[in-house]
Amino acid sequence: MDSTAIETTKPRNPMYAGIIAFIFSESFLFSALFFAYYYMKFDSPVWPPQGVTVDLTFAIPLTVILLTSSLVVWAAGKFLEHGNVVALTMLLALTILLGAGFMGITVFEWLNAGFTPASHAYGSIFFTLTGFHFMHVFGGTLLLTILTVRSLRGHYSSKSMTGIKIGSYYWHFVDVIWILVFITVFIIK
Amino acid sequence: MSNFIRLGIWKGIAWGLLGVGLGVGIATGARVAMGLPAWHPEINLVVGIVLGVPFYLGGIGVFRYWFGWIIGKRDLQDPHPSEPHWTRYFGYDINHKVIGIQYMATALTFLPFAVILQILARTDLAKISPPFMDLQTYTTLISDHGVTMLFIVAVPGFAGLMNYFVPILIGAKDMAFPKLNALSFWLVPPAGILIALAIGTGGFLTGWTIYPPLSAEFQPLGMDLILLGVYMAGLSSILTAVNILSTVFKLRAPGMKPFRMPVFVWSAVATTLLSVVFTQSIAMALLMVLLERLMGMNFFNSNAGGFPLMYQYMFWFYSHPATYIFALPGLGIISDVIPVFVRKPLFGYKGVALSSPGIAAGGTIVFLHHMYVAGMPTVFRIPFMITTMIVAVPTGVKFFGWIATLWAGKIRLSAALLLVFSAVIIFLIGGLTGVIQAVVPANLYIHDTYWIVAHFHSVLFGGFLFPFVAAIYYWFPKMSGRMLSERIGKWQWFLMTVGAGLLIIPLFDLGLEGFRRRVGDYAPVLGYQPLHLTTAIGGTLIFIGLALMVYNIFVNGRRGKIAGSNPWKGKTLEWLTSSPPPEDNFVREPIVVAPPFEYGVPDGEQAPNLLQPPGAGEG
Repeated sequence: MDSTAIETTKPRNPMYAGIIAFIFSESFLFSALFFAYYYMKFDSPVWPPQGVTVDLTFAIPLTVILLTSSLVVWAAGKFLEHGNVVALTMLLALTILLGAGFMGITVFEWLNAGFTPASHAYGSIFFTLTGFHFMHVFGGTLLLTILTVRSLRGHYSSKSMTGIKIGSYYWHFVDVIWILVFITVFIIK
Repeated sequence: MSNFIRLGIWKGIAWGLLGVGLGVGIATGARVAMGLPAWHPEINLVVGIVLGVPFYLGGIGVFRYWFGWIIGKRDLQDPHPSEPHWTRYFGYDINHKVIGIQYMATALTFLPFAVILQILARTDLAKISPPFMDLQTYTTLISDHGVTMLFIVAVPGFAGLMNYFVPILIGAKDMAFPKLNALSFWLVPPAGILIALAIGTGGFLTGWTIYPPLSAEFQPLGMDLILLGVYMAGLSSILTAVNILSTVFKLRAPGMKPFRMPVFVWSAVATTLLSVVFTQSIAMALLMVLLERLMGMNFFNSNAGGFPLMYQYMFWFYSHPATYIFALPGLGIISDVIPVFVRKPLFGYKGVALSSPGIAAGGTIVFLHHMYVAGMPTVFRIPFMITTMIVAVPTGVKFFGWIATLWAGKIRLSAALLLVFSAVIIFLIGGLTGVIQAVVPANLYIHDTYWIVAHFHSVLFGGFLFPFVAAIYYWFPKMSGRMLSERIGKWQWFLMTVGAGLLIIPLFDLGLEGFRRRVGDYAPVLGYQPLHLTTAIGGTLIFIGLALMVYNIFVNGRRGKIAGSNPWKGKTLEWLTSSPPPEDNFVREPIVVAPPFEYGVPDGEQAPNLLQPPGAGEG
């Protein structure tokens, strides 16, 4: 052995600490948006403004889709723990489909909202809040697509699960944020 | 010469310009397709920059490894470590020591730029010659000075020190995510350039706080560049913070328990926790202003139901904790430098270490003291006055720890220690005046006057500038293997200390007389010229001091005395490896057996025999 080589140490995986710190940080991005929403809500005489109707027509299917996808991605991880890579790949693909469905319905909802980001302050915060969440769903779907490709190429097994775990943590985070968006924008208004 | 042509940065610039061109083209095309006038300089150029930055990062080579990971490439290798040659500092490199030096060099490049802006503006304000700039230029210069100093000098300067020294101080080979680290660094230079370009593109008049409605309605492109630049710098600081936190939590050497970490590492943890939590808030606030400018949104537009004041809440929610981001690493440096040159253990090490997270925690609930007169509900005034004063308590713990360490110590007055002394005194002025202006009735009078400017310049001199320079004098032998000239260092200390005094004291006086900040003109008959002139002279002295340091670095970095591994006879890990440290920091893994400041204890080093390669000297 080369005498200047570093002694080997036990490998320590910082990935989990990293993703937790990142998700923690992201949650403050959304708290800034929620703060803006509630600040404007409590200081506005009429909220949402007259002529704006927000109802649950789309919101409930969106919630069901996203909650289901969280379950699916959880199940995918469980299958991987038992070494079932085929089920992992198929369930990841199903999650991507659900994510794509979520994004499709959201865009449809935006087009039928009856107001634009430039209409009034409510429009601005509505589209920014749902838009940022949309971008996170998009990012999560992209991540899941990458994980599916990697899983097809045989990168994951019950001994090598870091990527899948991190992907599912992120997806659960996106799901939790949606529940808060749902409660804020569609229930409390 | 061929080395020069092959620098990674040229490729980055070329791809970046290509991206800007592409973005402008797409924006123009989209506008034509939507039937709008083709050329709207703000929108088209902002789209160009937003596309240009990832292109530039790709050109540098930041994404190469991740692209391989994405397509699921097998036998994926870490980016090959570059040759130990000067060219590696100008391209993609993932070694934390290289990135640390890249950060510090960036900070030291923008520092003189920002100081010159301010000297120009203040010379004009001193009215010793006919005015040579209009008021819009004046406001742009002082605003750009503030933004550059905070986001491109202070944060990256400390990020560089943390990058270089946190892994070494905890006995790690590198940061937790070296490739993410490179991405964080490469976001900073374009951010600095955008902020500098704001001067030539219409400027911006908002000061560093970027309050709407002015920031939302002031048309020229300069304002957009500032928003984008600060946003990118913020993104970089969030990613760095995630990285440093993961490093400290997961990669400590065996035996490196929390209470064996140097105070600088404790400060780094506190700082990065603040970055992770609060930078998102300012990033969001700036993005909302940008959306309002470019897409006609109405967050801050009271004509359409928005609230300008909301920005101030979001901004100060970040920016008060941010002042601790600028200062905490500096306080950590002070705590680590004093014991080395006093040859005594740091007094109350645990208290001083814990006071860093203490200041960070206390600093999270004080931000409304910036808004006493902004129109917020007055019921918040007293609670926030009290919380603000409470922050002085953990800060006081640090001061008393430092003073007690000096007591009966064997003091060696090196340049680093002299700079630390100045830092302590100036930070004390800043801290005490901070308590004064937290008092509501006092604040109602001095709010938005030069008193505030004097206060935060004291805090930043004592918390950032002097400790940063001290850290360079203290750690330069480790980074380069050569000693800086102590003689030049002491001259620099003298010039900077006198300069800081001349700069700060007249500002306090002006503030008490009610002179408003950001005012670019006044009647000479009022007699304020001497005070403004003194301030300008003080700034110039600081500038000369900093120039001496740059001279010192350039001359003695190549020709200085060889430092050896431990010129100051320190006990912490960085002094127990060679200077500069090998690629992986240590030739063998450190086994930490002692707290960091065991001065006066025989064999008090934190880890024994680190310089011997494994296998030698055993058995």
